[in-house]
Amino acid sequence: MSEYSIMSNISAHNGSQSIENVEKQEEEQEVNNLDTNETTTTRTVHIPSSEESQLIKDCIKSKRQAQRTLYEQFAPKMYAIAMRYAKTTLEADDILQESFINIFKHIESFAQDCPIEFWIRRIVINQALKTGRSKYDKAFKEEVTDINYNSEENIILDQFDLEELLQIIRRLPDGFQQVFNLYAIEGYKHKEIAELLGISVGTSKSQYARARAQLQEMLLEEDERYEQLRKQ
Amino acid sequence: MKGMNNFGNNNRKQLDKQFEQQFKNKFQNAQFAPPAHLWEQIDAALDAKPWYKRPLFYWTSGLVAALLLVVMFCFTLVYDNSTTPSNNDFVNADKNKIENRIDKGIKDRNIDNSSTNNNTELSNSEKNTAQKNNLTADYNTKNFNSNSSNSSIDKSDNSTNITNTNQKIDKNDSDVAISIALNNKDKNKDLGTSATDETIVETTNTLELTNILADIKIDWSKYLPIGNPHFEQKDIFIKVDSTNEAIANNKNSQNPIEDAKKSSGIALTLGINHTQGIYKPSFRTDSLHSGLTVIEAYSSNLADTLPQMNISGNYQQTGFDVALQFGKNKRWSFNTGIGMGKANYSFGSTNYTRDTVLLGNPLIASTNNVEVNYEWLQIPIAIGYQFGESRAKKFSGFAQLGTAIELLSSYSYTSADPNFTYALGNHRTTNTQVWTQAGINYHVTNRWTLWGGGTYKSSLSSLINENGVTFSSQAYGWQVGTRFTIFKSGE
Repeated sequence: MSEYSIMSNISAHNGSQSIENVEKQEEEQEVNNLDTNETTTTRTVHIPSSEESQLIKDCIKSKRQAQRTLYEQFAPKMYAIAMRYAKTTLEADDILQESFINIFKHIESFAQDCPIEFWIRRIVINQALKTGRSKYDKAFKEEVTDINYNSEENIILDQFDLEELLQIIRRLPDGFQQVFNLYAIEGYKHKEIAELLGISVGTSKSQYARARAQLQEMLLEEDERYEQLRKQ
Repeated sequence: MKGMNNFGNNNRKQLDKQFEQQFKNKFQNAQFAPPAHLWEQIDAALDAKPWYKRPLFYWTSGLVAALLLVVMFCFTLVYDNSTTPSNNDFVNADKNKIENRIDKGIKDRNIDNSSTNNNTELSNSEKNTAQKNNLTADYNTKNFNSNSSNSSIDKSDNSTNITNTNQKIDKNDSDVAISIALNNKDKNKDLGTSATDETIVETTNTLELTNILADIKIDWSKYLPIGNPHFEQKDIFIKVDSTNEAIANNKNSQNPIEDAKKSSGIALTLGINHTQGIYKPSFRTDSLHSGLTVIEAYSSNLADTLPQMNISGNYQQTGFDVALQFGKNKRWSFNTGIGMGKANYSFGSTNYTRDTVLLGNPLIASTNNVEVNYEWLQIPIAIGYQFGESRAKKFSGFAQLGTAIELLSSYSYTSADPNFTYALGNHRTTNTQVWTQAGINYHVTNRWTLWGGGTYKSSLSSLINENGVTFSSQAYGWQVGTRFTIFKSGE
């Protein structure tokens, strides 16, 4: 029974499901979401705080102190994003650095119609995709062997800390990592991902399904390894 | 079973949603502290100027241009002051030759025609016939140094005076008609309308004249190097006879007119060249990159270090060149060709690795030595200018300015550390360089030239396609080559 207590956060389910079925369901869900959005469109007007406004103005004037303040305010969050897209920490450093240089160079083009964090986040994601483009471009062209993920287990991530999850995401093949980040965490639609990465919607969906399946497998493996360590 | 499947699908869907949501929750507001040095690098990058705004670029370009101008100006100045002869120089130097030849012609004529041609007035038709007995001397000065009016021939009372500035040649003989072709303005003017009333007859239509009495060998080069504007204006030939035999005899002889013609028009030259020099790469980081994209696998500090490193290597290039010379005296030229070049440089570096599995691990330093090799195909396109020529006509100077398009054919490196991977971004396969060259020609013959000089080239844009990093190169060295003129207009 002890092994079940360790596995307590992973509950087993019967049955299996193919990736194609998953893709179909996601497609239907996206259509439903779009329909819902069409009927209940609400537009939020962002009014920046006076502090944020002043900070942006000072950054536009290239005041170094303001730039530093902006950097210190958002760098930790953006670094976490960069870490998710990069394969190594050094690559994440690059992404963050390039992103902030671009932010300061183009901040006058920020229309202030949304919180500046969103704008910065978008730049970081774009930079991350740009940095990894050569790798995932190649990956998308290659044939991917299908992943048979047949387990119906509810994986609870609470037992994993952030860095462990980060390393697992980084172990995903090129292409999978980007699509998973964009869809599951950033909340992009497959159509948007397809446009961002220059791939078809179908490719985006299949890559995502495979990425998720592979992640689930890796998490289960990690969990099993953890369990064995506990036994010892 | 179908119901089971639907149940399973719905369940799966729910699980997947939960799975995604868990990830989203975990990472939505995740934060990691960036490395402390990152802000310093951003700070430095924000201060960096693009290459075209850097003072060094302007200083270097300006210095090279100024140097070329000074050299060209000095050559022209020295040449103008020392080699342009005055009219007196010219006449004094060759007066005796002209006098002697005219004397000889007069004597010959007097022997042959002493009884029949005394006091004979020349008519147009008579002059233009081959068997004419009159002795015609053509003293052709072709707009002689714009002082043609100073030249005069006085013929009166059976005496002929050739006057050029203050120099006089007096011929006390009766039947001598002397024609002067001053310029090209009046081809059809009659030659020697009258031996008694017109003392100056202008013509350049030498075919109308009788044949050349003598090929007066005047060494024009000792006064007038090729390219001197006075060169063409100093042609002299004397015609005193018109026999077919004499014409035939003189057809193949060289005379100053031919030399004058050579100095204008176009010419095509082919050549080979070799360059040996120093290759200096320079790395500039608008933002100081960490290693993965700049120096793959290793760390940030190599990129920080490279800009400060005084890296230099060797380069050599061998190629063929083609030049189309044009313009007055063929001073200008359009130059192109093709060359194969290679360069190498090496540097030592301290590389830093970090275990990427465990975050926050310290960097581990290690030393390494890397040697980088490039090979390229180069196509130069330049405008050249030839200036100055020594009195002996053997030496002249040249300068060229243009671009050199380099097509990278190979890039490789060797590393002391086998695990080191050096990927300085994606190298551009086509690069454009600003290219200049200056040197000295040694004219072995009319058509064969040896040359040597210096060359400098600098890349106009980054050699690598890497955002935020500029990898430029400069190369300077010595060149030697040889050129053969395969075509000259007018010959």
